Amino acid sequence: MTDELSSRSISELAPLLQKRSISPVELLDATFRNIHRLQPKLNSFITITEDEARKDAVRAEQEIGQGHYRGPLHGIPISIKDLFATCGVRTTAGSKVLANWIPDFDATAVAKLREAGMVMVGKTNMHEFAYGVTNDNPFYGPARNPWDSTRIPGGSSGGSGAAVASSQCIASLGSDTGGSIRIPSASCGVVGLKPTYGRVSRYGAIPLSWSLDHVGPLTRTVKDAALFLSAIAGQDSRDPSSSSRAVANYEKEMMGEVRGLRAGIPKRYFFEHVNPEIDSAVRKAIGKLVDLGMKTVEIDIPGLDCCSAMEAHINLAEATSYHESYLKKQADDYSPDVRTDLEAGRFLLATDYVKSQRARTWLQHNFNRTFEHADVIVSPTLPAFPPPVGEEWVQSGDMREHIIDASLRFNIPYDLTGLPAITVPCGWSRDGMPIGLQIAGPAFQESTILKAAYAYEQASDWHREEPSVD
Amino acid sequence: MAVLAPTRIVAQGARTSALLQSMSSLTGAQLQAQWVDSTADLVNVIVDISAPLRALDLGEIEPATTFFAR
Repeated sequence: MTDELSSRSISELAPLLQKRSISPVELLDATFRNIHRLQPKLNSFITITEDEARKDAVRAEQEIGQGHYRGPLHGIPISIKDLFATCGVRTTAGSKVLANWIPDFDATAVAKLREAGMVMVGKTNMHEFAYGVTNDNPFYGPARNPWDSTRIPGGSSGGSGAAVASSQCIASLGSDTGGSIRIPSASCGVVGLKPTYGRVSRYGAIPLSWSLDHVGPLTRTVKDAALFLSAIAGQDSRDPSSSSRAVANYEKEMMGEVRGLRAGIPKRYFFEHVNPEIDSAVRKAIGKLVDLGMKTVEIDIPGLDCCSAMEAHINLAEATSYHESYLKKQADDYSPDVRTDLEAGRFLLATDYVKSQRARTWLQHNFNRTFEHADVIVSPTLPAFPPPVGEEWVQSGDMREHIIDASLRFNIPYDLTGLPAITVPCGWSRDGMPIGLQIAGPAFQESTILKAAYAYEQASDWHREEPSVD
Repeated sequence: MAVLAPTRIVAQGARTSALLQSMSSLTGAQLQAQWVDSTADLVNVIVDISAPLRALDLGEIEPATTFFAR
């Protein structure tokens, strides 16, 4: 059974920690009772940092006791996807290639979380180099879904999704190149936020594809996503794509009125080839948004049928370029599927890569035109449920498709355009698997999608569901 | 993370495999025999799904040298 204290949200725990009604050490103990019980079943972590976490918790307790409260993440147990450099802690990126790498620096997002007072409980399992969606990791074992441990948790931040859902941490830091925050969040029944490209520094995150990579949180609630984003957002001179725009007060702005907000409902692409249970749950969620006073407008965005090709050309070319030196020295240390992707990247045409980058500009324009008529775009996060570990094909309504196609289809448009998107739970299937509602918005309008997601969350009880892992 | 649907394309497989093996002077790297077929399958899938992208007329639209969200 999950320890009750560790299944609470950041926004519930923070005032208790600040008032010293609970201590960070007490909270950490509760979290580690879950980790010790569930790690053998779910394999959410590659590295568990219990000794360091205990030191962090003791320090947080002392600081808070002395009146030096840093903010809502102070003393909160947080996990970090093993993609992010952590000073003095092994960082594998889920690979054999980096199996023994111990960085002497922190990724910027990790450094910001440390400044905010987090207690880092460990480095979470992930798909090798974030290059896939199953999290069936050949070197560290597959991460498993807390709602059905025979199934995948989605990926590539699969360990993060599983750990947050099963209360092995309160929140987790993830990355999203083709959906890798939102896919495991939807698959595990938690909230996942991919911010606007440039909002959170990529420095210290092992790249998959420089121009597609995003950094963001996986949390239990929408408010927690806002609190987490506030801690990690902001300009960083070490990331050339980092934005100088001022960081909004997300927690305050998300509390605004949703009445009159326009929800764009795509008439094509985002509702095609979708499992009927998912389609039904998402349409009910849209009905709930209307009950809250939002309006719906039908939208049609040109260019979506090119997204798969654009993603393939950009991702493969950039990934192979990054891995070139590792391929020269350690080619045999890659798994067969990642090795194949990297080899294929050598044989794609530069003209297709440039055409994809040009098409990206066009796609951004098309979305911007859409946002003249809609404030947010609402869709399913995924068209199908996560399959059993080892199974690579899923049934998406009337279409059988590869798990990669299914996972990326509704997620990749927002990586290509850099637009912010959040997934929130909006129901469960008859056999107990979670369903995600995706809400996307204009560039740097995280507050708007948080507002719509928060209003929906408050009008439903899905975020209170907890898995029972036996 | 590439879109991978290996059953979609098989006919071009052998021809592409031979082509990839012959391209080492262009790529600067020798593709080992054990990776030729899987790599050719994936390249064929990507070429197949690229038809709508290649058909686009993007006029004067330029790629950004560094990508920024806007």
